[in-house]
Amino acid sequence: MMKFLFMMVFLTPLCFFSYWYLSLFLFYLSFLFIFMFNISKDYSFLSYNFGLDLLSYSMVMLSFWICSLMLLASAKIFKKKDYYELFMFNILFLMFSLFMVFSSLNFFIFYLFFEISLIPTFFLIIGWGYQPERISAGKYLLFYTLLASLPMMVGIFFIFKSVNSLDFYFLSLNLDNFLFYLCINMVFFVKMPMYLIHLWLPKAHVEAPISGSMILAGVMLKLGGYGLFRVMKMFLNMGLKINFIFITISLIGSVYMSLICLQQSDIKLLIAYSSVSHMGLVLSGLLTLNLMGMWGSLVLMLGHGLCSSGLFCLANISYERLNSRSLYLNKGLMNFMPTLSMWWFLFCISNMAAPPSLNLLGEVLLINSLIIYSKLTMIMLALFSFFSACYSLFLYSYTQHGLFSSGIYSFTYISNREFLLLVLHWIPLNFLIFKGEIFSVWI
Amino acid sequence: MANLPTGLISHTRKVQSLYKKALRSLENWYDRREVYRYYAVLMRKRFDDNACITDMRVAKELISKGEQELRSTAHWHPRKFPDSPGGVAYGREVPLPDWVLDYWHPLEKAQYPEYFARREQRKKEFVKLWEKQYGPSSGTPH
Amino acid sequence: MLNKTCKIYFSFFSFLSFNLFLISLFLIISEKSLIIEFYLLNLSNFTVNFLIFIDWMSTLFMSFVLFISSMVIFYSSEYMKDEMYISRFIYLIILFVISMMMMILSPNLVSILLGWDGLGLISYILVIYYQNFKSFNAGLLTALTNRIGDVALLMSISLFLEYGSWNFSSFLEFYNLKENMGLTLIFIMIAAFTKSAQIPFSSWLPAAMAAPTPVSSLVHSSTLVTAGVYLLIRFSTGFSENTMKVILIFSLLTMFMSGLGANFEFDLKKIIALSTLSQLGMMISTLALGSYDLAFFHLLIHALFKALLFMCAGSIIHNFNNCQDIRFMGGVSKLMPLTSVYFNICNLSLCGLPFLSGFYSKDLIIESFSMLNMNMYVYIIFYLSMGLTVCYSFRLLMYTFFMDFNFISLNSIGDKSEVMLKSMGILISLVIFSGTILSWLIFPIPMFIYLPFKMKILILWLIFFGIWIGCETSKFGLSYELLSLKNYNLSSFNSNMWNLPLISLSMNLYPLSVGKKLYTSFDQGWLEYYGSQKLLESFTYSSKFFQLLSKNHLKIYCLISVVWFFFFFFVDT
Repeated sequence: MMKFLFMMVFLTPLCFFSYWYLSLFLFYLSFLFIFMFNISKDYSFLSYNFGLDLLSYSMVMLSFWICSLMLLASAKIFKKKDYYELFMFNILFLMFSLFMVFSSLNFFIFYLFFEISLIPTFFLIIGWGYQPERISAGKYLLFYTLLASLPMMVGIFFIFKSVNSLDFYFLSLNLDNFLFYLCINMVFFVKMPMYLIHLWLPKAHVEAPISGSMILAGVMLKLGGYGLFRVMKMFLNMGLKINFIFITISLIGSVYMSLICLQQSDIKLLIAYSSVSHMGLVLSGLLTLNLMGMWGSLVLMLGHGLCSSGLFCLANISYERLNSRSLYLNKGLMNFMPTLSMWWFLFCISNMAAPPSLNLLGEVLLINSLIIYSKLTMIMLALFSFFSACYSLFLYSYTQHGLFSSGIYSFTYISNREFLLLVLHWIPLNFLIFKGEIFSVWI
Repeated sequence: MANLPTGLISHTRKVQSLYKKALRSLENWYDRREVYRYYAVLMRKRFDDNACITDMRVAKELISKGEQELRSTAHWHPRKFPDSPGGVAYGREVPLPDWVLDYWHPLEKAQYPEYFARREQRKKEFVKLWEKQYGPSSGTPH
Repeated sequence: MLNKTCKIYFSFFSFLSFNLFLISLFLIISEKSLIIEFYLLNLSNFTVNFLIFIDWMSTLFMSFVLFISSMVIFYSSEYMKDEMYISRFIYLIILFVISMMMMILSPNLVSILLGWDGLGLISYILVIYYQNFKSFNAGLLTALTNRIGDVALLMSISLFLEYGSWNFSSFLEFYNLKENMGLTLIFIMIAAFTKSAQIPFSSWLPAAMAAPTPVSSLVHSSTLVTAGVYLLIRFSTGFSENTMKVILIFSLLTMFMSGLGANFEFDLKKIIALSTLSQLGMMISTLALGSYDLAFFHLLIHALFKALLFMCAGSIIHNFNNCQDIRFMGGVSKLMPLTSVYFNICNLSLCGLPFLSGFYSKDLIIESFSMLNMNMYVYIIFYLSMGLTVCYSFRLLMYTFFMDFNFISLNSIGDKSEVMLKSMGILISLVIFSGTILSWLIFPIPMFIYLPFKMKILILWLIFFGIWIGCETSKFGLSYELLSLKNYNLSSFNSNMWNLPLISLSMNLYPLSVGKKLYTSFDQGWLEYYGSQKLLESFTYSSKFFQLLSKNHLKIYCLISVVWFFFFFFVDT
């Protein structure tokens, strides 16, 4: 564990030397981490306050991977010399804090780095975003999370007072208190985000640069899920009583979000809303607290992290060529970039949970868990599943099919870097399903 | 955009377009040429009968009646040539602009060496022609 | 170079198809079936298997699918010659065949879903292969209707979870005993109906004719649409009697509706698509009446002649410069004699002319159907649809092949394309002979049919009646009154497939308008107001208020501090 920490710390000077070296080293780091793979039900690699079980392992793997891909995706910043040293430092810092969040065994350290990871994201948005609205988007991001997370800090102190430890392992407080439930969980609901408190997400996504969108969709949303996985064992009794409220809200919300997706004319906004919708399914599956729900949530979190991050990459590739995110201008791209069109298709169908992708496994498991929970959820699940296909295909066919916009006068070819970026998203997304059962080991 | 009214349409033109549409509609229904001719003559007769009406109120009434009849007897599957708008093959292929070839990858260009050599040659010739006609270009290329 | 790709896959697929045919012969003779299970996922007693079920049915079906697809690939090497993206086209067809294989081979709900989803998506991509708006709309209609089936399959997967396994084929009779099975099987029924385009969902099949003709020939006539029938065949032992009745009614209506609609249609490909629809209805109603092997028999034979029918139609369309309106055609028999011969053979086989392949299945179906004790409604509708099939076939024949030439004078129509003719010629031999061969294979023991003379001869009467009507509808003269114009409402109702496309297209209004309302009044309205903007406003307001207090009114400020102190003293314990 320490080796990764130290490696990240000592990579810092490299930020000021070379962009591609850092990118290379981040991949090196991810592969080092991947080779450390170890299926075990319990925590392993314990040192000081850090340790990994399979849940944290997969989340750390996801965040390392996405962070390395972020550098690969935003080569434009390097080419334009847009303060890229600071940018690299930001990403490294983000990666560091995400590593700390996912691998810490202590609730307070978790909380601390949960908050700290907001800061580099915030900087990414207001520093390298595109429009002036990015300031307000950054504020939305910061304050939605902060407002809900300060009660959690009080809750953590309360836990420490009662249990005298903040190790996740010892969180066995079983308190039937609604207020306590809300204090601890609300921040995760905001982070997921649950419907009704999701407003920060579309704004932040739209205004963020490609790297910000990738990390937001890829990892930051999953922080909420990770936190819920960790704290839910305190709320086993309470959860049985009131989880149905949140399940209902997020299920209905995910259908609503997918309806809203059909209204969007902005590619990034569409993808952002689709991730709200998918996260609603994850949240509701997680709150059923059954085995399949937990398993499915983790799988869908991983799948969605890779898939929506890949979709944002695609949107950015079009954006860099056409300077627009509008669906009315990004059309008929198949005529210009037929090879890219295949990647659009692959990622769009992964987004609608087509085989073979992690999303399919996750959705099947989550649907199973929710229907076991209650047969009534079937209506919402069917609608959700149908409309997710609607907007994914809408996105694909609208951008790729038909006549191109007559305002296009030039484009550049897709570079190998961009294909590599997409391939590196797609391979884990579609190949992890062959060993999908490892994601159930940690439960 | 063709459906938007872009100017005043005179009565004569309304009648003319109604006549044409009526003939097209007949063509949809009566798909044998000789039969169609027969009904087309009948249709012509109906128009000719009212040709001498000078009272605009009556004429307007007649036109709106005719349009209503046209609408109520519209064929569900109008006869269209495949490549005309509304036909089955209309817009099947998107003609790509010529400049797309300039953005081909060098490796792809290398597959057609003769064509691209000729293309570069033509470009130079075109620039020469243009400069001969309008004088040398002053702006910076972008 | 592209020709080479086509040739490689053509020979590979036909080789594979021949081998599979031999395997299926072996399996029929030895009455064996082979089950291979792969564990995909495993968690305590929850296992997801990838099941490969090799019996004569799946191997025979696969060999037919491979054979047709190899012919279609060969055919499209000429038909799509001028396309820019022909390699994409060929690869998509290959992907389609692969997902069809996955669907056929595995009677496990989860692993069927893999192929099932793949079928829908790839057929979507194939439908929107051309870049025009028609194919755009048709593609989305196809994909979304199929997605309803996917969702139904997903739901039935989760309902099946209660029974502990998704390998339905081995436990189906047992499931039938459970009372909760109804809902599950209704979902299965919906899934099959969407793929096979039965009545509430049938609008997508004629719309999907916007695809290139080889695709229509492979996907929308012989393979994809029969996936639903195949699913129902695999599930047929599990359905309760009442569900079967529902299936019967819907499929009969589909059969009747599409047969009727084909008589009012003028688009060559759409007529054939509607005829496919009516044959699918016939298969499913046969299935619902209890004889699944007959349905499967008809499925195979229908796949052959319908694929060939589409290929001939494609050849005609190709020669007519993409024109597919039969009002423009006529007299093709003089210009393209060989294609017309193929087309006619297929059409007659579709009508069930004795000793062509369609005869064996259709005659058997009709006669065993007459043996059943069915009510009058079912009987009449079934027979009428048979007559309608003959009727639209002959109308099509008259319009396209025998009447006066109606196209523009500048044309070059003729049997010139060698590759297309070759691929059709290979298929035609099977269209002629496969009926006998398959009936000997599938039914080694002849069926026992015992009917009174009138019932036996009834179908013949209907066929002759259909021929007569079909020829009459295509006739035209000066003294004739145009009945379809006179009964405008009725004829447009019938030609628009009983307004089914209208229904399924107007459905999209509601979600869109709801989505707009949600977006404007929730996301940009209430949630913004009560979530963030209002909060900001009230914070600003109250902090201004306190600022005001602390600036100007020292007394009040002190008082507040004192109250605050007291609060702490009393509250803290």
